[in-house]
Amino acid sequence: MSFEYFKIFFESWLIVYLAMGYFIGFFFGAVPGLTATLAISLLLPLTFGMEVLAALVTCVGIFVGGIYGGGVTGILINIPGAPAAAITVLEGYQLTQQGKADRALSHSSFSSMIGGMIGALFTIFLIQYVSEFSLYFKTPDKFSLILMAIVVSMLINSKDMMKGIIATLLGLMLAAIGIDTFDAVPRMSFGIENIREGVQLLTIVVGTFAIAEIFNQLASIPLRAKDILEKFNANQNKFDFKPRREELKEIGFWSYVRSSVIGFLTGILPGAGAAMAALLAYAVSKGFSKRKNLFGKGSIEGIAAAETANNAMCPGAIIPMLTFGIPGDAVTALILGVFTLHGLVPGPMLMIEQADTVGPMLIAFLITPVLIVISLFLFGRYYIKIPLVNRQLLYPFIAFTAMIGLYAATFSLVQLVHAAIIGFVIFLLSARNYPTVPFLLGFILGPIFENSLRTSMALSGGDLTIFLRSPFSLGLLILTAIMIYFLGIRLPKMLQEQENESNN
Amino acid sequence: MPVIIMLFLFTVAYLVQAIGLPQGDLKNIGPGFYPVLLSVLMLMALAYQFFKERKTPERPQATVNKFHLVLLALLSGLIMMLESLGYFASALVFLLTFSMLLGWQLVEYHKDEAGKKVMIGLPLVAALTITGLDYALFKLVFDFNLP
Repeated sequence: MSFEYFKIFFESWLIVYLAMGYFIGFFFGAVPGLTATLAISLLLPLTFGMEVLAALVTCVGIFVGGIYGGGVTGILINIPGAPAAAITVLEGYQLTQQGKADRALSHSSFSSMIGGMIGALFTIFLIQYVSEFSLYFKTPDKFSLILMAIVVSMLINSKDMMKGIIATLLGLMLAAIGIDTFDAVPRMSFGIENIREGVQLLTIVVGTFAIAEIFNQLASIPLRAKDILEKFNANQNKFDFKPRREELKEIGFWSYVRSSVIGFLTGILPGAGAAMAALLAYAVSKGFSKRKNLFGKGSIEGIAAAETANNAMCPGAIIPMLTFGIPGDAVTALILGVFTLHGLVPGPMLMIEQADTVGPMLIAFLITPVLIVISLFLFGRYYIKIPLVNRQLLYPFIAFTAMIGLYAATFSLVQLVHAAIIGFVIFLLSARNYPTVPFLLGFILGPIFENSLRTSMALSGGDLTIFLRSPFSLGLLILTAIMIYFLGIRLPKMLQEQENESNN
Repeated sequence: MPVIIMLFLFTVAYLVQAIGLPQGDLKNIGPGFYPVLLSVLMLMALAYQFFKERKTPERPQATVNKFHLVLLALLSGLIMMLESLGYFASALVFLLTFSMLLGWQLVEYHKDEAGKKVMIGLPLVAALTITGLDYALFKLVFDFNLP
């Protein structure tokens, strides 16, 4: 990776876009109810007016900032900004209640920085090899990889597997609306002229993440600033954010490395996501720890493991998206959307043809973690003010910006009607625990899933065993079956047993 | 249950259209095959969920309330006004009324918050600042054409 890519950041406005993205992501991650996914969905229409590199770098900032921001609110007021922060909240809020919020914030930031940078270095080092390896992937292998991404994302993001299946199928079904790419026949347009060419990605994104969240906010009891401050129960005026030598010794060098590797590998696995990275690293760290008794009661080791892993996951998750064109979670799916909107096709050739775009984007993953620590020292004492933002200003901003952004990008009022309907339907579905991430992944992966199925069948002359004859495809199908067993059958049983034990 | 019925109706309409398309065979899959496959799988999943919920009814975490209906009306109003009234008028009206709606929701749950600040002050601030901010963002910075 050339040093030139570093220089670009400081010789142009890129560093400003990156910092802006980071602070936007951090803010959206930190405000309960908002997510980095929502931030990128608001940004998506604006990317039409941006250079592709500026748009991608902003997205990287939002991605990393969002993952980190989710933990901050959790530590301070016990409300995780994002599912990835659940472990950080478990340990961090205990420390806040002990009057040690600064220690929790310090280690969540430093661990995020270390995890993020190690993950970025792994990615920069390995992406070329993965990209070359992806050239050996034939169409049936791609089909099995997409199937695995869809299944894993469904299993991880669903509390109820059947609801996950329904949400995924709905995404796949909506994606199939439009002109058939093989036979140029219009499909399932319900006689509506405006969807003859398909449902637009922007419309789905704005409806699913912006409008549905607005409906969701109107369904819950509004939190006031004083309710939030009551949760921040720590009369702490002095903040010392420097990590102490004895704390770093307690965590240990190998814990950072271990959690980074776990996070990075979880990121590469399509569909797994940050929450799983944090959970795995936390469980492994607990296994290795000499202070197991502190886990669950405010363990700095626990925070370090979770935050290192979920930040190492971010650059890892970009690898399958860039090399195979297969996103693993909602944010990378939207970053893929930015590529598509600018006419770039992820895949092995991208690394060669668009090295000047991909290179600085990967460097952004290396720089953003540093911003985490800088922002902690500059603004850490004011972090508690973020969730106090007035919702009468915030939600009108989100709703209107989403709608006007969609209009500006499509010049179509019909798209606004579609976004409003989709938003309302998604609200109804998520109120009943139907997950939105598998729905989005189903929608985004749907077209290439169908294409790879039909091409494989045409190549094999209708022989379904083509998926078992290729070693890559067979390996991926076996891995998918293992995932179904562990994540869909074993894990729910284990969690149920744990719940029964704690109830007894 | 209403969600399952809604999805069921959508899937049946989807299936009817998909069946009308050429299906092809495994060697040469037609445009209708994949949508038919998806809708059949969806109908099976919905049937399973339907019987499961009939046996053990589930309570949704949130139900549709009057605020949702007002928001739907406001969004419809925004869509209808946008091209006829233009950016500024429609933005001001939508933002003012939506912020008022959030104020109404706040007062409904926390009676002691009632006052001019919540019902007039903040909505006015929201309407003026966000209209200006989005205009600056979309028109001045990124040069989009606004209505």
